[in-house]
This record gives sequence, C-alpha cells and structure tokens, in this order.
Amino acid sequence: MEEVLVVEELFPYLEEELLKLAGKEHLKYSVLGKHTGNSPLAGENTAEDTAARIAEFLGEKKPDEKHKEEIEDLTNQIKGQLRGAESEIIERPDLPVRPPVLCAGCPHRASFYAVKTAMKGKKANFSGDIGCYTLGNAMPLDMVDTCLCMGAGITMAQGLHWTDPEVVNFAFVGDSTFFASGMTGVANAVYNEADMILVVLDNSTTAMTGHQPHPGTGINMMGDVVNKINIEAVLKGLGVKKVITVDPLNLDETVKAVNKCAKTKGVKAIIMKSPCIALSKPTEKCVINDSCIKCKKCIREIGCPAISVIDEKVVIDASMCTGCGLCAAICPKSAIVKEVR
Amino acid sequence: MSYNILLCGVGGQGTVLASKLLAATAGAADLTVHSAETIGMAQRGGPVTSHVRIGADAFSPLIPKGSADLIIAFEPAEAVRNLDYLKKNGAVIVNENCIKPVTESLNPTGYDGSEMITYLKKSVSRLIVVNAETLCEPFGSTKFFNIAVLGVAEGAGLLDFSKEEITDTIEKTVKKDFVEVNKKAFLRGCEIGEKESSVGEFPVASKEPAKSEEKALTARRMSEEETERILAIQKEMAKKKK
Repeated sequence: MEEVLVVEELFPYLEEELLKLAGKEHLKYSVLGKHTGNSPLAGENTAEDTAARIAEFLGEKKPDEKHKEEIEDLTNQIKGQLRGAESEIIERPDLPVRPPVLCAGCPHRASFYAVKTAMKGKKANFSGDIGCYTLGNAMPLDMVDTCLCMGAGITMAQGLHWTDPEVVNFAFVGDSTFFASGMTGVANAVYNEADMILVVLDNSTTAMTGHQPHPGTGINMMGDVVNKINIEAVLKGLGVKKVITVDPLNLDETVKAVNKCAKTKGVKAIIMKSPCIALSKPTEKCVINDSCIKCKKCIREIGCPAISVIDEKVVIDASMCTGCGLCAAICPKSAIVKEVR
Repeated sequence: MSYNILLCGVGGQGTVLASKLLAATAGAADLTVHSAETIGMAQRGGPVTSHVRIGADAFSPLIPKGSADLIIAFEPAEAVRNLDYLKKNGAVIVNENCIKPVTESLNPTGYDGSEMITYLKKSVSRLIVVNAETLCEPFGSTKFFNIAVLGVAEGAGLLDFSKEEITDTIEKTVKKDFVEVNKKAFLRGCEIGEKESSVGEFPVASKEPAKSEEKALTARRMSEEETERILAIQKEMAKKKK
C-alpha cells in the first residue's frame, strides 16, 4: 500500500490513526485527507464531492472537469424532462426562505419573550448556547447574541460582565447542556464573583438531537429508571444563592423573577421549567375571536409558526397550537382565548 | 441496481417516519437498504430530506444528484428545491398544499405554492399532484399524509412492494393506537395512486436478495432491532462483570 485517501466528516480521526500507525510500525504510505487538503475541513460530505475526490485520487479526472460535465449532464437531463418543446427552458421560481423556528407552543419562546419584556429599555447581553433554544436568535425574538459551543454561554456572560459591569448579562442554557458542560462555568462565575443571570431552560429532555436522556430525566443510557439529579440543588451546591424556579408559560411571574434577579449582585439563576411540546399531547388550543383588531402584535413580537394571516384575518392553526397561551397573554384586546381540545 | 427514493418536506411533517417505513419494508423483504435523514434543529419548520436507497448496488445512504428514481415531496417548494436530485425520467409525487414559512407572516412575499406546482408541471413529465387536505380529510388531520402518500406511491406502482408488505411494517413500526388509522390512510392513498398508474409504468428495481454482510451495513435499524442490540450489549457486559 502506497497511498490512502480518507473520506470522513468532523474530526480527522481515521486519518490521524493511520498516521500514528505509520509512525509506530515504520510503514511507508502517505495519508491524504483533511491535513493534506484533499478533504474539506468542515461541512458535510456529498455524494458528488466524494465521487470527485475519489476520481482525482485515482487519477481519473480532475474534479473541476468532472463537475463541469456533471453540470452539463444535469442541464441536459432537465432539458430532457421538459414537456413539449425540447428547447424551451423554464425559469425556476424563487424558493421561499425557510429558516427553522421554535415549534408552536415551545416553552423557550415564552422564556425568551419574558426576559426580553423585562429588559426592555435596559442594556443587556444575551449569551446563548447549543440546543433548540439557539433558534431564539431568529426574528422577531432576536434573543441570542452569542453562540459558540456547549456551555460557552455561561462563561461568555461572566466574561462580558467584566468588560462592562453596567450591562445586565444573561446566559441561556438548556437542561441537557447544563449537565453536559454548563456546571463548570457556573462554578467559575460564583468563585470569581461575577454578576450574571443564568437562565436554565429546563424542558426535561434533550430536544434538539432527538430526546436522549440526561441526568435530569431520571432515565439512563441503558433505559433504566434512576434517581434524577436536581438542577436547583446542583446550583445551590455550587454556591448560587438565589435560585428561582418558574413556569415560563406564566408570563407575569417570569417577568417578575427576571426583574428581581436583575436588581441583585452576584450569580443568580432562574430555572424556567416547562416540558418540551414533543413530550406531551396538548389538551388546549388558542382561538382568535371577533374582538381582534388585526394589530398583529402576536405575529410581530413572538413569531409563533401557528399564527398567520389568511385572507386578511389573523388565524391560529389549530393543528399546530398547543394552547401555551403566550399570544393570549400579550394580546392588547384579549381577543385570544384558550379552548379545551 | 438500486432504487433511490428522496423524501422532502418541512420539519414536523413526518418525513422521517415515512422513510423509516420504506427502509423497514425493504429490510423485511431481505433487500439491502440504506437511509439517512435530516434530524435535529431543522426538525420543525426547516427544510428536511430523507434519502432511502434500496437494492444490492446501494452502497451508501446519500443519493447523488440526478439519481433519484422517485421524489416524494410533502410541500411544493421543497419539491422544487430538491429537483436536482431527480433522475432523467424520474417520478415526482407532490403535495400541493404549501407551508408558509414564519418569515412569510413577518415579510409577505405572496408565496402560496401555486407557482411551484406550475413549474413542476412544466418540468416533470412523470408527476402526481396530490392534495394532502383532501387526502387526509377522513382522518381529521394532515399528520397522516406521511403514510397516505406512501399509499399514493404504492398505488401508482412506484414502489416494488406489495400492499401487505407495507401494512405489515405499519403494524410493526407505528404506535399501537395509531396502527388502524395509518393503515386506512395508506389504503386511501393507494386508491388515489391507482388512478395515476400511468406514471408508474417504468421499471423499478428488481428484487435482489442482499448478501448478509451488506445487510449488516443497513444504516438505520428499527426500534426492535435496536432493543435487541442493546440487550446483547447488556448481556456481554454482564458476562464481563462475572
């Protein structure tokens, strides 16, 4: 064997193991991959790119030429599919932009909205983290200022505090991320006496990646039922003096908790606890009655995917709505009411 | 020879379950099958695709562009977004009901899917347009479209499985309480699909039995097999402890 082409995503694991093996056993082969520029450092491998790289490796064709041929081939295929006149080329219509959004009824939306409401007109930084709640970044919530890696929101928030102590610093972290790599950051903040508010968005699951268990769920990797680790107890154990647990779907109570914490020094934590909507079947739904004045505050401020304008009327899609009631809580005319499903 | 099916739609429409059903049916028929799905943050509201490749020549789960025999699109714009994957003379089944992105409510562009359907009608000769709302009316929710549309594909002759093979998988895969309604949704889809059988008049992958080592490569396995695997690991661990 003279040469190896390694095609892998993420870390160049096999590539480095092959290099180690070559050194250890004094083998004479070269390894082509991420370290040699033969594979991209980041991003997904596609069938087309991989085929082109293998072809190049085998000395068949340069990828550029291959791509050109592929594009020509595709154009011909599309032409071939045209119904009627072969020469007629139809312009592809512009596709709608479709960014992923927090689900209708997601408790994170309510949590972000409550913090946003409480901090209106005040200087605040919102450090985010990795999870479904990274989507709090999207308009109209616009509540994630930083996003680096799991647990980094907590350490960034305390770092930002030292750059400008006048600004209120928030760190949002999910329950699963908290257990994964959030706790060390909390210890650092407490020990170094930073002023910050930690918001634990506790939805009782690891929603983003498919509802894997974590130490707060009470089910371990083998599926056994085990003792849960209590987030509040962990925080208190780490020396956080003020720990408040609220239901984010109760907007007033949550806003009050945020205001209370914003006024005090040190590390404060608010656990906003409400289960992921994917875990339970909704029992209620919201409907808009005739007192709606079409101000569209519900659309402009919370960005719930269940609310849209159809034939100039603001409507709630009953199949999506979970009856979280956030829209009802902010409606200036109390035109949104909860109904039993 | 492999038969490549691309399922696309918007996160939350149930494309993953539909692709799992197809993969499980192929697995039960002793065919080599690979599949890959978009999961994670795009699970709600974002564009999602699932790739299912069936046949002895399916060596990896991702379908190369220009190689899909069948595209099952749960939303008109998503069909257009993924049209590059379609093989020459490949077939497309598309739901004409659009899903408006949230950005549409904030900044309206007038997107309603009709332009996409017009484009598809002009550019795809083997096209079946279905209406998920009409199709799923008897079941009270378009949530059953993911199973019903498999029926449409089956009825149109675009899947090389018998109805029974698929309903068997539904029984094994879907939660107990939903088996009956899903079977009904599937059969209603079949009826609609049968009216479009002209679209299916192309050869589909012949059933080649998988070699045992290839079967081991199946990327996604069903929950039952997963449970078995975990049990085997547990046993192994228990042995080591002793």
